Parts: sequence; structure tokens; C-alpha cells
Amino acid sequence: MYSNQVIARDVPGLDIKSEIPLLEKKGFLQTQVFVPDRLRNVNPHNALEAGRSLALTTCSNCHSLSSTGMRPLANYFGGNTDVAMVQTYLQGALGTGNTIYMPHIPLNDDEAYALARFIVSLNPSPQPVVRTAAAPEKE
Amino acid sequence: MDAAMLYALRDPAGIPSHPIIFLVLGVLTWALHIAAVQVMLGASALTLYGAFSRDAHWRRLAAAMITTAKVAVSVAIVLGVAPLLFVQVIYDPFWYTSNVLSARWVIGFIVILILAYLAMYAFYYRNPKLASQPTRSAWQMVASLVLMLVVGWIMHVLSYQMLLPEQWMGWYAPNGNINPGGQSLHAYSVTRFAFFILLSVAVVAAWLFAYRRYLMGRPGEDAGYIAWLLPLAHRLMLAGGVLAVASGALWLATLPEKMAWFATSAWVWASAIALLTAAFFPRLLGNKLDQGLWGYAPFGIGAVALIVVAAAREALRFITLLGTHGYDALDYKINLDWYSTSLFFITFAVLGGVVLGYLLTVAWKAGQTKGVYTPSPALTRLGNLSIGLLVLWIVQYFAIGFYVWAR
Ligand code: HEC
Ligand code: HEM
Repeated sequence: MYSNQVIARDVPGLDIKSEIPLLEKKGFLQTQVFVPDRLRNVNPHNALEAGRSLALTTCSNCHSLSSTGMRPLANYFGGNTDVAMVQTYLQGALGTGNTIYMPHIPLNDDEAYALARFIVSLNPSPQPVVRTAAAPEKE
Repeated sequence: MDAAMLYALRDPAGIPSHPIIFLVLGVLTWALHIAAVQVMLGASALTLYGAFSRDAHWRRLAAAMITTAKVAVSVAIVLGVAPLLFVQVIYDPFWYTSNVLSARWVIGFIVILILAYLAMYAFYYRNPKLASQPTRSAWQMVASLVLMLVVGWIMHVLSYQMLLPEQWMGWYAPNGNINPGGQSLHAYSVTRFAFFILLSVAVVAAWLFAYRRYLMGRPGEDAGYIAWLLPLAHRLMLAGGVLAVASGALWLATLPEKMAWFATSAWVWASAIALLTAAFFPRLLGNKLDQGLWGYAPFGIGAVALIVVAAAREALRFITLLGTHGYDALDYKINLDWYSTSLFFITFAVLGGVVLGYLLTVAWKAGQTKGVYTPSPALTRLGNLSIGLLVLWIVQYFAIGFYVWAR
């Protein structure tokens, strides 16, 4: 189980099933317990809020959503304001589980769009304190 | 929050033993926790009263009660961990949600507890001769008592929020806007809190009977002081009984609708009978209080009454969550782990019994002796056995770990 509570593989000994197939089919917003009803389906009006909800439940236990603290999420996107680009990245890297150190986080089109909207709205800290996807840390 | 959602919040790994074990141990250890809390609160209050008094007996009592309170805090903390573990095993969807929704307070709990404890120690160190010298820095003791009550209040809110799953979403996302800050204590019941806190009066009265009996066993103790304690204990017991019944009745009268059934349930009757029995027991005993070990009996009966109250408190939670919310704490998935289950019970019964038995016997006997106390050979053997068992425990712990790792 990842620290964002997603069970990513079967554990036959304890009779635990992976949740990835369910998440791929239904998405996070439909299956998470703590999601306000009005955010369960993404639409143009609620995309930003739905994205925040996704970030809170699936990223924030490892990435701070503000500009300080542990691995601020915004810093990994270097101030990128292109929603489509961020969405492609999320689905390509995270959605396939191909990012080093990070859990497999399947995101359907709507959810990836919402999360990208939210990430783009964040302000990275002025001086990146960590290595980012866009700018490697200076040694 | 429907039942399916509550079940989704459970630990998918299941639990290592039957849930009834966790439920019962939770009730028993919580009763012990609250007993220690109540002794601590009662002893703190008596310390304060004595510290502001000029009466020599009161001042002597204050000096004794500050040492009692000091030890009772650490016992309350240790005995608070046990129900914490049990409640988070079978009620994890509720306990963790309640904690996360008030996260800042959960963290603040520890800080406030440390401050409360430090304040108590500060007072203790400022007043090494409370019995014979004027009180210094009484405000430290006031601060300690107030902060301890804040700590208890946080615990109360955490326990109480568990019972209200229908409101969680409104707290997490008021009007649909998520607020993950955890700044607020969302729900409380003043009457419920008052009941558990005011019970301290009766509990500390029972404690005073035992304290008095303990002093009677010490050669050369001041008979005037011992005689003075008796009516005080009786009066506190009476006041405590009245306060418990009155605040308990208020609590029952102010139960939210979904818990209203509790007010007339057998659980409440059983608790009322147990509490009243405990309150009248010292009067029933009369002169017997001074014979044999009877002087300790009021505290023993009080402890039994607290277990009944703890069971009723658990019934309120279990039945409310099952009846109104469809959550059955006893149908938790079990992945039986024989090793940890038997290790737990062996540690609890054998090590706990022998080691604690030894320490408490030595402490008690030493207190009953004037001058240097030399344990009997049998007790010394028990001491050696305690050490042997502890060593054995540590060795088997690492041996099993190594075996599992090397396998
Ligand atoms: C289990 C913890 C965890 C979770 C959950 C998590 N991350 Fe990460 N993430 C990490 C770690 C660890 C790194 C590597 C940090 C580093 O190298 O500085 C990382 C790095 C990243 C990177 C940089 C990747 C690269 O190749 O440099 C991005 C982008 C990122 N995370 C986005 C996200 C998003 C978006 C989410 C939520 C959907 C998320 N993370 C959830 C732990 C996590
Ligand atoms: C020292 C000051 C403390 C006071 C005054 C205090 C008081 C209380 C009170 C009044 C309750 C009952 C709340 C209710 O049901 O409404 C309670 C419950 C509880 N306390 Fe404490 N407490 C203290 C310290 C601690 C500590 C240090 C711990 C843990 C290490 C702890 C663990 C618990 C737990 C787990 C419960 C709830 C158990 C359950 O819901 O089943 N307490 N406490």
C-alpha cells in the first residue's frame, strides 16, 4: 500500500486485492470516500476544485501543496502554465507507474485534466529547493 | 456517510485476532485509564485546596496528593495508550477520521500534556515542604489542572466525533468546499465530558479511603490525621455520588436523538447501580473499614463500577454505529496471527503479572515499614524471576525476528 492509501498489488497471503483495476475503471473521484458530491464528476466549473481534491488525496501526503514544506508539488512543474502539457505528463508518467520513487497513479482524462488545472494554478517557490522535472538541482 | 463508505475506510489487511478481544480489552484498559485520570484530577484538586488552606491536616494532605497526582499522570498516560491501540484497531474508520478532522489539536494534545505535566512538576519542586511552609507559585498547579482538562477535552472531542459520521463530510468540506486544515474541534457534549470529569470526586474519595488504610499500616503514624481523613473521605464520596448521578442524568437527557435509546437501556441501569453501590459501600462497611484489608475495598469496588461504566460507554458506541450506521465492529476481517496473539497474552499475564506484582509488593511493603526494609527471600526470588523473564522475553523477541528474517 502506498502512503496515499492506494493498494497497488495483490497480497494473496492477506487476501488483499490491488485497487489499480478499479481506479482505472472508475477513477479516484468516484471511489474515494472523502470527496464532496459536487466534485465527483469533473465539469468546466469545478475542475480546479476537483483537481485540488485529487491533489489532496493522491499527492499531498508526499508533496506539499504550498510553496514550502516537503517536496512542494509546484516545484516539480517549474511554473509550467500549459494545462495540456501537464495533463499529458501526468497520464504518461504517473498514470503508467513509470516515475521513479512514485506510486502508480492512474488518472483518466477528466481527472488528469482537473489535476493539471490545479497544478498549473500553484505558485512554485521563487528558488526551487529541489530538483524538478524541468530544472535539475544545482549541485 | 453510508455503511459501504465506512467499511471502505477499514484496514484491508484485517486484524490479527478476533475483534471481540480488542473490544473487551479496550473497555478494560479504558476503565483503568479513566480511573488514573480521575485520581490525578481529584488529587490535583485536593492539592490546590490544601495549598490555599492554613489547616495543618489539609496541608499535609496537599503534600501527599501532589506526589499522588504526579504518579497518576504517568499511569494515566501509559494506560491511555492501551485503549488507543484497541480503539484504532476495530474502529479505525472512525478514530482516524476524527483525528484527521482535528489534526492540529491531536498534535497540540501532546504539547499541552507536556506543559501540564511540567507545570505540575514545577509546582512540586517549588514546594518541597508543602506541609510546613507557605505555598509558592500556586498558579502553576492551577495551570496544570486547567491544561489537563484541556487535554481531556481534546480526548473527549475525538471520541465524540467518532459517533457522528453523518456530519464528517460537512466538517471536511463545509458547503462542498474542502478545508483540509484540521483546525477545529467540531463536536462535543459538555454534559458527557462533565460526567466523566466529575466522577473524579467519587474516585478520589475511594482513593482517600485506601490512602488512610495505607497510613494505618505504618507504625507511628499521626492518629489525629488518620482520624481526620475519614469524614473527609465520606463527605467526598457522598458529594461525588450526587455529582455523578446528577451529571450522568444531564448527559442522558441531552443525548442526540439517534442515541436516545441509551438513556433507558440496561447499560445505564447497570452503571447507575454500580456507581451507587460504590458510593454507599464505605458507609455500609462502617467500622469494618478499619479491619484487615477492608480499607482498600472501596477503591476495588470503585474500579469495578468504572468497568461497568466503561462497558456502557462502549455499548453506546457499538450499538449506535451498528444500528444507525450499519457498521459492525465485530465483523472485521481476521488474519489470525498466532504468534503475536499468544505473545501478547503471555506478556500481559505472565510478565505483567510477575514484574508488576513484584514492583508493587516491594513499594507497598517498603511504605509499611519504618527504617530500612529488607524483602523476604520469597520476594527476592520473585524479583530474580522478573529479571529472568524480561531477559527471556528480549532474547525470544530478537530470536524470532532473526529466524523470520533468515528463513
Ligand atoms: C508515495 C509518495 C508520493 C506520492 C503519493 C506522489 N509522489 Fe511525486 N514524487 C515522490 C518522490 C519521492 C519523488 C522524487 C523526489 C525527488 O527526486 O526530488 C517524486 C517526484 C515527483 C515528480 C518529479 C518526477 C521526476 O521525474 O523528476 C513529479 C512531477 C511528481 N512527483 C508529481 C506527483 C503528483 C502529481 C502526484 C499525485 C498525483 C504525486 N507526485 C504523488 C513521491 C510521491
Ligand atoms: C492526562 C490527561 C488526560 C485526561 C484528563 C484524559 C481524559 C479522558 C476522557 C475524559 C476521556 C473520555 C472522553 C469521552 O468518552 O467523552 C478519555 C478518553 C480517552 N483517552 Fe484520555 N485523558 C488524558 C490523557 C490521555 C493520554 C495521554 C492518552 C494516550 C496516550 C489518552 C487516551 C485516551 C483514549 C484512547 C481515549 C478514548 C478511548 C475510546 O474512545 O475508546 N488519554 N480521556
